[in-house]
Amino acid sequence: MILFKHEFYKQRRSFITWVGIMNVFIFGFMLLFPLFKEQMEALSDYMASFEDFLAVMGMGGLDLATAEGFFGADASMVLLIGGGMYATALGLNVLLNEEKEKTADFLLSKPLSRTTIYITKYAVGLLNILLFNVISYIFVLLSFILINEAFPFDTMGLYFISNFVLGFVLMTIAYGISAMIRKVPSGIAYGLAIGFYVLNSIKNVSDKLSFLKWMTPFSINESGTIFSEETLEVTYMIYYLGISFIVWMIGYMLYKKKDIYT
Amino acid sequence: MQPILKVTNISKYYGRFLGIKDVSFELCPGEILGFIGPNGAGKSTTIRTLLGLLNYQLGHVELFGQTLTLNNASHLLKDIGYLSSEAKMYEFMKVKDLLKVSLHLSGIKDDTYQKHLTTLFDVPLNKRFSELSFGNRKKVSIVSALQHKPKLLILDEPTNGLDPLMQLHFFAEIKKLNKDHKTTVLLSSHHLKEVENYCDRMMFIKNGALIDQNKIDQFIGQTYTKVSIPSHIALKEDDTISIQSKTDNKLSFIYKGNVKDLLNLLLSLNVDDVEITKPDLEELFVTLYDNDGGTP
Repeated sequence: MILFKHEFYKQRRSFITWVGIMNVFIFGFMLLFPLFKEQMEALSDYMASFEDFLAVMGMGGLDLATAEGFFGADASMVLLIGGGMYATALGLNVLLNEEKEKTADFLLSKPLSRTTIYITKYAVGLLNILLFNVISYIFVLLSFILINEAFPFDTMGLYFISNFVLGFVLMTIAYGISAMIRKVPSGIAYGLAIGFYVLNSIKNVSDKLSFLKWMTPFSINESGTIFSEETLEVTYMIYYLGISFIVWMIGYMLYKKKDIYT
Repeated sequence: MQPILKVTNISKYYGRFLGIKDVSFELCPGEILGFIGPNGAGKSTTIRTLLGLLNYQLGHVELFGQTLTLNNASHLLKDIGYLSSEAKMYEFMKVKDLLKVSLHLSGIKDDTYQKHLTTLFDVPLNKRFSELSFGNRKKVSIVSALQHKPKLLILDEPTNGLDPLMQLHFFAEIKKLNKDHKTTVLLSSHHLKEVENYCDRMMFIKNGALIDQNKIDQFIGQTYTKVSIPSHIALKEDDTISIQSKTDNKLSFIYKGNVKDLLNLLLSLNVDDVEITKPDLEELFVTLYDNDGGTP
């Protein structure tokens, strides 16, 4: 428990920064909605003619003239990409930072098994992802109240469940990978998250590229599908949870035998 | 007496590169063992292997009577205090919080001894670790390593960065723990005087292999002797003779072996003038490492 508390305390600054920045953006976007509502109605009709473009951006079927559609088209993208970057960076760094910052000697010379360290640090990462989504959910709810719009509990629930599972998968895969390597170039986490996101957008261009759905965890959270069809991408969720479990387990097996360098 | 630590022929390779090879030694309860070698000779690799930070490919390590594996290292680490040469800890934390976490991670709640140590070493408890000088970082690391009164202390360059007064406090505390609690110590150091003054035995490592280990008084005077003879006498270096210096009048060398063999050598050389003294550790170090570096 002491390691859990210590790790949670260690992560707090980065967590507060990410949650703060993301929610300022989202809050700002949503507060702007009443100003643009009328224009959005006109824009919505106009944008409907760009069906393919909207599909590529994962916004197919969204009505921009509603607060829900506005959230799905704009604010949710910030949360999706930002949350994905945060989850990937968290997963890659939570273990590796001990080696990078040369504190691994301190931690691993304490009577803690590698299993305890691997699981505890992971659990803290997981809690951060959960709190990230819970806090963001509350902020979105507050923003809807402030702009006097009905909060779509069902679809928002689905969206945040998807976003949590996406963060969970990205963090878990990155965490497993971090246990297998010695160093990670700075910025690679953000590149990786954006790369997956771009891959997800490319797959929407043509049916021929639909196989890419199986190569990017962002398939889990398609705001267009969630807000228009009110369904979860359960198949992709199960698939990517399976993949992340395998990567996590391989990482665990290797971490138990990993040489720790200064 | 059963050794606290028994290392038998351990070898560690980093890919194709040798880290340490066939390292064997023992540490008995209450003993203080000095570990000497130049940079890159394999001291830190040996220490990190004993702590379970590195895997070893060959050999066998027994700690407190149990075979050391990466699976049971955590259990055995409860009774070990480790001070790394770099003294790195979490930069963002206040010193008092760091020491508390360190103590709790070691499974101890009672902080009485911690308070004694922080007073003794004048540790700035309310500063963040990032704000500390290297000397103060070292003091925090010392407290962290000692505060749970471990049975075995593994100290890697412990006094680097400490002022002379703190060095005295440090060794006085180590000696006290050693006397009162039979704390065993493995001391890796470049300060040869420290090893000479505080250790019972010492061992030398070179190119990843232990080249000698013995009691301090055996090394100085019995195993190794400093000899000066007239420089006109022809003398060739071999396994027992290492020439230190040669001037117009005097040839100085370190002799490895017993006195009887040395006297026979001097007689065979028809030496008409000789000066025999005990070498100091620095002269020994130079003799052992002068020809090539420590890099494995």
